[in-house]
Amino acid sequence: MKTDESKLNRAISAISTQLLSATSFWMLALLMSLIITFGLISPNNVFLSANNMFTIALGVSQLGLISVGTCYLLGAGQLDISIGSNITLSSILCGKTVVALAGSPAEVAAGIYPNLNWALSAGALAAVASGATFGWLNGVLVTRLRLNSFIVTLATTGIGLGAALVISGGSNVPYIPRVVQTGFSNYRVGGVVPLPVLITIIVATILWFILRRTRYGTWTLAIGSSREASARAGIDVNRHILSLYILMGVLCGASAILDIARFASTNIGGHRLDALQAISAAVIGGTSLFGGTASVFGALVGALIPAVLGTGLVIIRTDPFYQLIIVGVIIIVAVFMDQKNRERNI
Amino acid sequence: MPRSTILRRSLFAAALVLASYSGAKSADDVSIAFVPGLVGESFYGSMRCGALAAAAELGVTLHYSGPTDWDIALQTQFIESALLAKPQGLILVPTDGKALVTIVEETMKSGIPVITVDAPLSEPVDLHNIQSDQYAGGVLAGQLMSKLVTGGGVYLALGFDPGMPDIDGRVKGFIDALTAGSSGAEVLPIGYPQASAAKAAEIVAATIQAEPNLKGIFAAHTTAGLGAAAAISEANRVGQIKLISFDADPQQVSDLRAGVYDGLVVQEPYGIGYDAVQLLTKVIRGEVAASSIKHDAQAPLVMATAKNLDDPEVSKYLYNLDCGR
Repeated sequence: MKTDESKLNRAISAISTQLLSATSFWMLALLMSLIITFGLISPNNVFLSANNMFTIALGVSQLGLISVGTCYLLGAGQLDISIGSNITLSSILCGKTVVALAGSPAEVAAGIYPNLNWALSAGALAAVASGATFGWLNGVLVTRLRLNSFIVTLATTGIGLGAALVISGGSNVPYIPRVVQTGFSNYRVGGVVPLPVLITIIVATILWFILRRTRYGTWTLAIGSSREASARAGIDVNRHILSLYILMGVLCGASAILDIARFASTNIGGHRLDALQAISAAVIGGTSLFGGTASVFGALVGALIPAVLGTGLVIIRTDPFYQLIIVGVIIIVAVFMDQKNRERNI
Repeated sequence: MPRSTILRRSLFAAALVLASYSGAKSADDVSIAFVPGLVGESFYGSMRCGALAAAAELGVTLHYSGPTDWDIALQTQFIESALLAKPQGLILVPTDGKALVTIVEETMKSGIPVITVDAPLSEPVDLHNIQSDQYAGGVLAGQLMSKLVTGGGVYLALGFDPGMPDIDGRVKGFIDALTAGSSGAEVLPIGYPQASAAKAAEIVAATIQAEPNLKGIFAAHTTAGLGAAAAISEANRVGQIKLISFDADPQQVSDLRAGVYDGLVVQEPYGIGYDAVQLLTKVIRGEVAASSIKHDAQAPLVMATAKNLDDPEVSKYLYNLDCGR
């Protein structure tokens, strides 16, 4: 009896030590307290309405996808700062495909789309294929040429954006059918959950499962902890890293589809900060910049915090510039916690 | 001899050969260089079409070339290579009003008249400047908003970044016109979404949640308009919350027809390009004395709505990109 109790106590204290040292746990607590605070001080507690919550989630659904991808790459000790260029290029190719296939130029300009369904499927395929190819290129350069991932993706940021500008002539693709917005992005499953939010939740759940419960996930973090040890243990490190870049690329393609659907337009200038936002989301959520530790759930929490702050500050009519300061402080706290944890583990 | 000097000399020689050729055609053949702020964007594309149309009418040779990014360092290279070809006049969109003062001053001194368009220099060392009255464009939007909504309400204006004189002028014009008299309109703190449609949507979505009395939104540039349109549509409030935006690329015009926007403030880049080439040609040919030209000119702006869109007086302003590449 007594031993059982002490076992239980030990188990509880083990769990709580683990929980209390996890950055993602503290960031979740922070997110919750932000939501409650804004709920209490917003007029009529409007901040807490389900409608507001799902609107915030809708705004974060694109960032959520690329933050989860970034958390995989960082977990393996890799960095991709070309995410924004990948999304821009993929969305331009997607938009061009849709507009070219939906009808003749005259029909499309008049808002008539005889081949709409076929064009939209082909457009989605083009976005994912372009995203995956972009990611594959990053992966090949990093693994075959053995170049540093920061420098490779810095270079492909320029290459990708340049290609997007050449293809589009520098202006957004015109005449994208508005039905992608009204029929897809604004569609609420069961009348409540926006479709893009559901897609992001499903993708994130699958990727959470893979990271935590499969050999693929274990290998990802093992490579991030020690590339040499992983290679000695028989992991084909290069092949694995290449596959991670392709995964990131596919997520960029998916994010490009959500972007076109949400705004019924491409957005050439709007993605230059995407990579930095995704990296800060992953880091806020407890993913280590040095590899070996990653949290899919934390990355989603990290993506939500700036959006909750941005929305909350507008709702209480406060200067939105505070958002930048607060998010900066949170990033430093998160990185500091990560460092403490790593020092403890050594 | 350094390579760049060889290159410059051969370019110069080529320019001389070209100049002697064109000189053979007509004694008064005029060549003008046009360096825009950026190429491949519908606003400047339309300006180029206007300039080309004037050049064709007046029998002038126009060399139009500029950078792919709004960047003073890139643009300077284009200005220098344009001047190497010894044009008789230069039209320039200054990407940096301060940094370009010296080069424009020197060019003017060397006897090549310079007209700046779309943005001003910090000192009026150029012959002439044509730009849209950004503040007046904002006023047009504020006046239309007052007409669309009666009886007070809450309004939101979206800028770009604080401290951009042209876009801040648009926002100020909107707010001044909207709150003129005893309209009872209440204006929220200005939103600054930069070039991000997602950020603009976040600001507008939050405002819709917090302000049940939100009646109208003014987007001072295209991307802010995209984000605002998405957030209004997501909240199922299209038509109830009035949306007026600056600029008119083809997608925005078709959205104006569809009722997503209630009005678009359209600048006249085509006319700016046309007028600049026409005036500069007259100066070069000696038909107009440089001393008689007023330094500042303002290009007109027009408010396009779904109703007046097909009126030729309005449709001639819509960005015209159909003049070949």
